[in-house]
Amino acid sequence: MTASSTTAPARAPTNRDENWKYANLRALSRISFEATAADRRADPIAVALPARTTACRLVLIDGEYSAINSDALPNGAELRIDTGSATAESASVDHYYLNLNRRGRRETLRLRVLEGQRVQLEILHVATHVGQPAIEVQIDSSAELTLIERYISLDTATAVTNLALDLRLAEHAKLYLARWQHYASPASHIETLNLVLGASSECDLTQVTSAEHSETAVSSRSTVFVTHAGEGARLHWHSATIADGQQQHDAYVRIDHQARRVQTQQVFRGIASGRSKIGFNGHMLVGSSAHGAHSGQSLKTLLAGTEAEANVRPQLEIYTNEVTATHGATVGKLDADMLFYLLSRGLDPGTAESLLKWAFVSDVLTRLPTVELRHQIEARLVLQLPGAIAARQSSAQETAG
Amino acid sequence: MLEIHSLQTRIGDKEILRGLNLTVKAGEVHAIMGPNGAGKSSLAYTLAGRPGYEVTGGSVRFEGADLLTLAPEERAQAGLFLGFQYPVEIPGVNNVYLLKAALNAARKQRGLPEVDAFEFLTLVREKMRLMQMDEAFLSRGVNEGFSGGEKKRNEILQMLVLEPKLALLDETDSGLDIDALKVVANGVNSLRSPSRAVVLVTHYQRLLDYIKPDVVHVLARGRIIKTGGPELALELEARGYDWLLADAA
Amino acid sequence: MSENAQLNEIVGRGYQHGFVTDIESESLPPGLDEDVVRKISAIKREPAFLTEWRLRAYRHWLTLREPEWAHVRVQPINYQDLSYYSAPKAKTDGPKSLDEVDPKLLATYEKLGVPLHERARLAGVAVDAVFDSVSVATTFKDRLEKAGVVFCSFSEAVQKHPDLIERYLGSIVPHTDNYYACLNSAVFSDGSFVYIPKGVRCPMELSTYFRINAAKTGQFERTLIIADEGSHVSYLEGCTAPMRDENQLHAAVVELVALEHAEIKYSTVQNWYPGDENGVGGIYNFVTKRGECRGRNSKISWTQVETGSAITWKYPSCVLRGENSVGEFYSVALANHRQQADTGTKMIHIGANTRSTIVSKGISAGHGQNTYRGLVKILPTASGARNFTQCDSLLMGGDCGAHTFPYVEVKNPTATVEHEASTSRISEDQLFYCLQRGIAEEDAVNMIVNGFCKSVFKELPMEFAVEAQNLLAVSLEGSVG
Repeated sequence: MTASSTTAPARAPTNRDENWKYANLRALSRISFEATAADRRADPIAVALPARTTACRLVLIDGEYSAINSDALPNGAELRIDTGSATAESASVDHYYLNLNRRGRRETLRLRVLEGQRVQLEILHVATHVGQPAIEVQIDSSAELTLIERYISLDTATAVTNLALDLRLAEHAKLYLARWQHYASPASHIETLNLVLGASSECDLTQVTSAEHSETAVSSRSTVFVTHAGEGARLHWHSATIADGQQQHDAYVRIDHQARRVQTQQVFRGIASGRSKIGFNGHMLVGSSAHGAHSGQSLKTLLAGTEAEANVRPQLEIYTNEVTATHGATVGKLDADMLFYLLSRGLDPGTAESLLKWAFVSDVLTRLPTVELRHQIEARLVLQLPGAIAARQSSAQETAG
Repeated sequence: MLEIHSLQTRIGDKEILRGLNLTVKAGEVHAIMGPNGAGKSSLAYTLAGRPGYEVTGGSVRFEGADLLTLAPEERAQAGLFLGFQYPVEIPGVNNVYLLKAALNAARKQRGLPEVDAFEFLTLVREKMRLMQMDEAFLSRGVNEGFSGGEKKRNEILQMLVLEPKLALLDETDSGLDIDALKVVANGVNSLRSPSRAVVLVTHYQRLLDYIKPDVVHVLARGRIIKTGGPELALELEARGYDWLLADAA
Repeated sequence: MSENAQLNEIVGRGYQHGFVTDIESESLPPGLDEDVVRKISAIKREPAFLTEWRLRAYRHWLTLREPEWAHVRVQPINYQDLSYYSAPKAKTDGPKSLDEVDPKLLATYEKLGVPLHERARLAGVAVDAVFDSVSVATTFKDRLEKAGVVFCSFSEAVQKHPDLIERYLGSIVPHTDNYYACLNSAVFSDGSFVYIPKGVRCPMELSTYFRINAAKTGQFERTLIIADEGSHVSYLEGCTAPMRDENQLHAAVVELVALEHAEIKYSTVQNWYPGDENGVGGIYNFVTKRGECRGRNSKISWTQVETGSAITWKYPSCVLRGENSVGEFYSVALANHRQQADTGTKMIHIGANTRSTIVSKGISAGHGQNTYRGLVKILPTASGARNFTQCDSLLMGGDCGAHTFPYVEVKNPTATVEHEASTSRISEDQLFYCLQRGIAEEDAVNMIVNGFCKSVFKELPMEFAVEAQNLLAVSLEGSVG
């Protein structure tokens, strides 16, 4: 356990730090967070942006709100933009990049969904060089937010994103959060998420990490803190990472159960092809006050490249006996029996493998909150799993029907 | 043997039994029927002393003693057996081991010495033949990986070995095909004697074709609302429960 | 009865081996420096290579810091406060036969249930008895010698088989490995040595019985087992210590080498004094155990039942170097009262088609904290490697903790690694089912806990499986969850 009592701001993490053991720190340490390029917020984006997945879309360019490219906010929500950096330095090594963001951010987006309201919106992050977006979302009691957050890059040398995302759910609030990271050009993506769930609130989080091309050099690191703060809160977590080439994706997700009868279901699916590396560290903590907590975890990674690597840690830390926790993790190749079954039905090996990979991530894709988003993601992923077109079509029909 | 007087129970805030009366004499077989959610299983659990089933009124006497003051294992040792509707799986705990421990607990209560290992196995094998169970069952974990039908047979096997005075069989027929049903009924019938009693909790008349009851009760809304002979079961099969519920309302 | 009252009652049963043997002993004064290391080596009349090895270890140890990553709270240990050598005073130069062993020592082992007189022993088990820092007796030596098996104290092996010692000592656990292993390398006093020659199936179970008796003494034994090509051996260790208010350090190192087609089965029933219910006293059990499957088709299997010690910190591991080699780890760990256990294994897959199995059953009761920590590492060379891990925790009482910290690192796409874990308390349904069959609550709990541990107990040699079950029942008496 890393317990530091000093008040000095955190040092940079190293691979000796338990929660950073598998992070691509070599790449991260080379990043410069100094934003030097011109401010592009005021210009309309020239290239065609992906189709909207909700009626309202807000656009951030390198972490800053671009009014000219954004839609008007729907009823029921409020947006405030505060300029300037933030203070409050944390001493935890896990907050090192959050500290950088606080110091370096130029503005903070504060989004609020008012009591009892239902709102859908998309936040499109466009990375051109260096951005340190800071977003705080407050969902008032009994309000419901569907938030689609996506990350793309415009053709640049290397895009750098260091995000701080803070989400707070009041009692009986609901959040359908879909996050899609899909860079088309070399990118380093770092993010620190903080999610606090109030009593009887519910969060359904779906996350897909992929890249436009297998040769795109992308490296990402997610640090996530979830706190079940109110009785009866529920979290459904579904994330999928599809990595190829030399890409490296690493996540540390700590889910802290601190109230009675809270529930977590966590599903992770990773496919590592080529020479890519996937790390997923799911840390479930059940405190002594979390009587009646349920926690389930299923972490599966498929190694599909001869030099691919997976590092998985399904961790449980439990301090009460009124709990049920069942966790599983697997790392391996495609199931030989299933593969044989498909081959014996006449499929060629490439198609059969793609189909199975498709099936493998569909546990996550089927959880996406809007059909439009799901189709867009599937359309991109299908390029990486070419034989899976048939499977995709059948799933499209399924959603259509 | 069993006298239930005005029994009231609840689970949490929910009232389940609302003044239930039932008397079962030695040598008798009673069937308790009734619609879903009537409280049939709750009655069985209450008698067996399952935690969470709170008695708020009434009395239960078993062989003259106050059953409700006894701990669950004391009730079992006194000769009350519950055949569970959904027998739980206990991985790693051997069937034969559980059976022997249970038998010895009952013997100890009666002041008898522990059963001889050889005699015990002979007894169990004999009962297993009756239940048409494979020897391999013995070395498996309690109900571990058993099919629904295997679990029910195992319940009856335990009953035959423990030879209770009063057997409460909770939906022992559910999930059984017709052959298995006959085997289970055979097992129950073999236990019938002037000194024992059986209470069958069931949904369907089907079981009663094979185990002839002396008395049939209808339990609804937490009470026995009608009592009759075997012909009542046939009438229920033909007419359902609605006519009775309408009468009772 | 309330849960707490029952827990207290269980706790009240107490430790059965807490007596002290009143025997005159020769000890080095407390403190540790190069001179002490040299003295230990001199007392043992060791060859120069070994003295040098110890000194290298000592110098390296000075550069290390105690590890902090384990999920345990340790009272700081003052290493200058400990005595690094304690031996029962012998009239002669060490007993040649059982007749020369001090009767008080024989009585001690008798009392512990490990009679050393061969006629009193089960015919199938040979015992090496280690008392504080030295081996006091080894039984059945003649019979073993006929089979070509070397089973003796480590000190004796240094004299008689220095070539084997020089070749294998530190080859699995180098002196630089970790803080406690490094300290052990500098100051280890005795332990057991086993060599099974080519093609020999050891005719009986071998066992070492460790006993800490002296106060303010650290126990640092070293065990080395070499299974030559095609050989087979089953080895068991047991441990107890008197009840004392201060914590005592036990920092052992065990090294196993299995050559081609060889098999080593290593079982531990660890029942060091756990401290009292308030966490006063007890053994700090900081042990490094590692085996290497060096040859093709070799196998190393660790089975451990850990019910004692105030703190347990041990990770019996397998380095699977040989093609098709097999590593196994079966563990039951209990943490009751204020006990802390941080234990698990490492399976390092290097060779092709290597296989490993991990079954860990953790039981937490009282204020106990039980942690499973395990690494499964598949290197790029380990094509077709497989691992299966099953890791279950049982919680009894509201103040205990159960933690699972696995590391799965896979660098070969043809490998398959599966990890399953569950944590829950004793199921009320299971308990009620047993009660309904007339079984008393405490018996029912024992039955369910034993069932929970069964897949591990069945790996133990028969007579020790029974001992382990009884030990668990005693350690848990009254802990109805």
